[in-house]
Amino acid sequence: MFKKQDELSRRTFMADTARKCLGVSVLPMFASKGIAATGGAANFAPMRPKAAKSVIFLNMSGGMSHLDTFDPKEKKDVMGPNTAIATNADGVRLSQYLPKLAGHADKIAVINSMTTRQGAHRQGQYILHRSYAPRGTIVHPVMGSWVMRLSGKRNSTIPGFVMVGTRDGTSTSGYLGPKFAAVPIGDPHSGIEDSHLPSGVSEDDFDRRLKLAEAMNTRFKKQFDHKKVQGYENLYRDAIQLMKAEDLKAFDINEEPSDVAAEYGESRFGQGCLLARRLIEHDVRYVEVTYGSWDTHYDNFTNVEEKCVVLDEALSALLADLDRRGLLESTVVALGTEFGRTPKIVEHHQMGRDHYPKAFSHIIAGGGIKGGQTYGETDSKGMEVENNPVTPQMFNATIAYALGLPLEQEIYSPSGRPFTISDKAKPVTALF
Amino acid sequence: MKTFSFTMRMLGVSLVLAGFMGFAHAEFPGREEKAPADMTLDDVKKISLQVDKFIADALRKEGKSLIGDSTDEQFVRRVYLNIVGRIPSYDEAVTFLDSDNANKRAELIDTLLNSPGYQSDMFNFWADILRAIHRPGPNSQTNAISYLNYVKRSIAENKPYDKWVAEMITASGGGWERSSGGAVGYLERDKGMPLDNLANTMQIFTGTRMECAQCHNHPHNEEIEQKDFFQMAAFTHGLKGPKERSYGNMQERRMYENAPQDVRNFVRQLRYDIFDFGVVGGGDGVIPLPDDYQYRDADPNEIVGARTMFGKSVRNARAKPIDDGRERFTEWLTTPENPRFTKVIANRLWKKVMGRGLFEPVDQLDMDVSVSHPSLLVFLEKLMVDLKYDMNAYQRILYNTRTFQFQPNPEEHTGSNYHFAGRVLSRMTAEQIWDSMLATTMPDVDERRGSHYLPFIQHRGRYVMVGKKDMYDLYEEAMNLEGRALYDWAAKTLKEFNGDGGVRAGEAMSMSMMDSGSAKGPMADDKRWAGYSSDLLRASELPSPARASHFLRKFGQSARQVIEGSTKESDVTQILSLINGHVEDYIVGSSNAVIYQDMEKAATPEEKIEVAFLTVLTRRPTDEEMQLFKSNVDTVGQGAYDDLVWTLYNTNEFMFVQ
Repeated sequence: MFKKQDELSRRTFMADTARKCLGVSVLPMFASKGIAATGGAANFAPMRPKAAKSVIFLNMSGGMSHLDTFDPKEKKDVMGPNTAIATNADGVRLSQYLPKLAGHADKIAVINSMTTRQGAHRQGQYILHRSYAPRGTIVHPVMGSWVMRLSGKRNSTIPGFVMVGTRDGTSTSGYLGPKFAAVPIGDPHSGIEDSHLPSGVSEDDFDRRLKLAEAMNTRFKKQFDHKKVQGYENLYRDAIQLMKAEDLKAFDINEEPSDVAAEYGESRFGQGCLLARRLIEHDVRYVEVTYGSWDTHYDNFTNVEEKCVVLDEALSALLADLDRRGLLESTVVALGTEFGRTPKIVEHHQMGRDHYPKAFSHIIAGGGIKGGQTYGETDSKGMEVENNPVTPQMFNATIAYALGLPLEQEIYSPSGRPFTISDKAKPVTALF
Repeated sequence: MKTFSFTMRMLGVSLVLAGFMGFAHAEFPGREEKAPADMTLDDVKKISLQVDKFIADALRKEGKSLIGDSTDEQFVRRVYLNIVGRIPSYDEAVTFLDSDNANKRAELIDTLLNSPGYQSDMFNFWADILRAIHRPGPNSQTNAISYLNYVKRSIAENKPYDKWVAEMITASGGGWERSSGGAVGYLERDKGMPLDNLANTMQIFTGTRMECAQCHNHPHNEEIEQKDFFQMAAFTHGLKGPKERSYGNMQERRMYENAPQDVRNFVRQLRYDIFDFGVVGGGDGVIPLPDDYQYRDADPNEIVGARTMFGKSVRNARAKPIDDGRERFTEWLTTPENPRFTKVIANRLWKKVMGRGLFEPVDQLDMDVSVSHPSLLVFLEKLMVDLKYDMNAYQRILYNTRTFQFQPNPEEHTGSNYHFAGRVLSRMTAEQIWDSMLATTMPDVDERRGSHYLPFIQHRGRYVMVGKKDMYDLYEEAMNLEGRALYDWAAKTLKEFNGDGGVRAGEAMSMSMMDSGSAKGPMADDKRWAGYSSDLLRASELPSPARASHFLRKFGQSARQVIEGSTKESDVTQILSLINGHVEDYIVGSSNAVIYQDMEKAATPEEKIEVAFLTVLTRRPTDEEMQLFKSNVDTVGQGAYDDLVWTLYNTNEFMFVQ
């Protein structure tokens, strides 16, 4: 692992030298860095010199009500039975459903001016993750795959991009290919699938079998001395390395002391957040944890209140835990959703709220973000964004900016179409 | 647009089937007498020789020596994987290897091309290209099983390719209307996105990439202007669902809002499955340019008439609405005179058989495309036309070539054009891996059917009214109801569903439930498969695509969101599954797995080892390998057979097809 980092810095150094001497980069992946550093890309903020290393993205799927979480209002007709509470930061007010988080508001920046035109779940989730609208002819990669593509693994023995919780069937890495795809984890308690020897197979059995396979492969390799055959064998090495890796324990939340685990709450989402923290601690680059069922067309207030119990506990624990371990400065914690919900309460749906893409809320914390602030605002009913609108693309650009990634670097799909990490959107640098 | 520089005249001969006129001009025979059966093997071999000559001449010109024939072991494994999508079972392998029939290769090819395994493999092939999925549409709500069955049926009937394509593009009616037979599912795959659908049609069937031109002029590989795109799209513009419901009228809306929750959900589902699922309209032949049209040759929102962008010019010059745009488009698309239509399918199937295309990607036939064997492509194009687009007969000729039966190429091929100096080594597809493992796990695996493709009514994760009512009946009952009548009927029907209780969806069905008439072949509960999990079905019998965490998806089955989205790339999670997952869970140490049952029948350790080798690798062990595993038996005892089975699946030789 250290060897690899050394190699990387050596190559970076060489690239720098080459650029200084020749005015070009020898490595395409550093080319845009050079442009940004010399101010060549006028439309974009320069890359951050002191960049965050990891991301935890909390995906509130289903469309989280902004009024009932991060953008509470005074007016009864839009708030129903819900009210706002003060927090430990002057600049932030939260819904009463988030009392614990109110004690950590100094760590978070709330963005109340999110806006999009995607009012359907799949399309909204697509653009939230991929910064491009869905097309029938291509699958765009998600942020985690982009981050892996542009900055690589930090720990070479374990996967760099992990998704916890349910996911849709669409490839995460799209045209970037499986090398940059997420490793999916269904249940945070069971870790990576098939990473342990089955019961009844001892280490000795396993070693014996590997020797047999190696003997057989030697013959095959003599016949077919191909790169792809070698590559396949290397994967066996990686897999065995992973099985034996010290850091595989990063995936085992059962190793956490019970009082720490309890802080996050027993919910699957809470335990997913705990797993995310463990993974980040072991230098995993990007972890996404999904928390679903925010689609509160019916009985919005009962449902959101229930969901917030879990969110409040887990998010508060995560922020406090990262902070305690000194990881918050190097980790971006972002929370997003595909759209908000209507300020108008649909009474005959037992006080439900429908989809509302025009205005909604995200939060972002850590990784150099200034805590205790609210960015952008909606009108007194939470219906229109009044100032500083932020699109999902800009939100992704902000995460990328926090990581020090080249926002303008074009990556080509196999069919030759150029794309950038957040569709050339500008980051919200005022948050830092 | 430029046309291709090489033409028929270059060959200067009357082509291909000249010697077999009786066949070439016969009307396409009925379903019972499939076209391949009409050509004698001698005829087939004469054409195969002609194909080989193109390859041999090119090799000779490059100063390369000719390639030797594959061994019987290599051939039988390759031909099973290629035609039926899985490795041969122990019995199948031994039967072939031990036969001294001089004609055994050609006979095996014929047997396989007419087997259910062929249909299974072709379904995987086409589902990947057509993105055929169980639940298409913007919200993935629609039950499109009728379309999947249409695709399966078209393969089983060996429908001529040109007719098949034409059927899909001109299909009308409801998706669950019995007489329309599900063909409308092709257009419905991109419900609400007709422009994307057209771009996909042009890519799949003519190798023309237009998706960029949807939004702007594109000088990428050829000059395709945004206007060209919209003129093409005009042909198929203006299609509607059979009964699209917006709840626009107040009475309907009030009815909807006042109905109980479960009735409302049911009506909504009917909307996806029945009212909106289907196509009405012939294609307007006119279309408005987009709001943001930015070029000088026309104004935003200007109505333009349909016009083909290459080949024979077909146009709706007056830009007045017509009612047969789709017919006109299809006629232009599927005629042999279309300069791209036939080339694309001829090359696509060539690649399927030979491992590499004469040009790649197979759906990118740009003007400046580099073709490895131009005159062979012309020959194949003519062959396809002469065979009246009979895909089975076409493949039969290719499988009988020496080119297909070459030794594997020991060199790794990099670069674009391939000279076919030996078979290219390639990793199995996800479906081949899964189906091959299945073939070593249970008997007669090609015949086992699940319930995922039956037209059952699905309600809350269960099949209801099985044997009494299916989706086609539901369509007939609901389609013509409006307003109160619809809601009353919905409430009544829902009560029936709830009273029925149903069976868990996806569960093994018993023969007695198959009265609804659409299940073909023995079901999962046939006693041959007693004791095997009902999830162990061939990839073509599992939902399309398999669920995201399934073995198939892990190994690269396409999510079927984009054309040919499948991949043969490997990653660590696949290896873990081979080391600790599926192979251990279903095969190693499973006494009911076919491989163990066959080993059990063998008397000596040597024979058992031979059985395992033939089952997994389709060859007998070398002396050295025999020694290796025998001495393992001597030291470890019975457990050595588990070692053996595990090891064979975890070799490169299992994974790479020679």
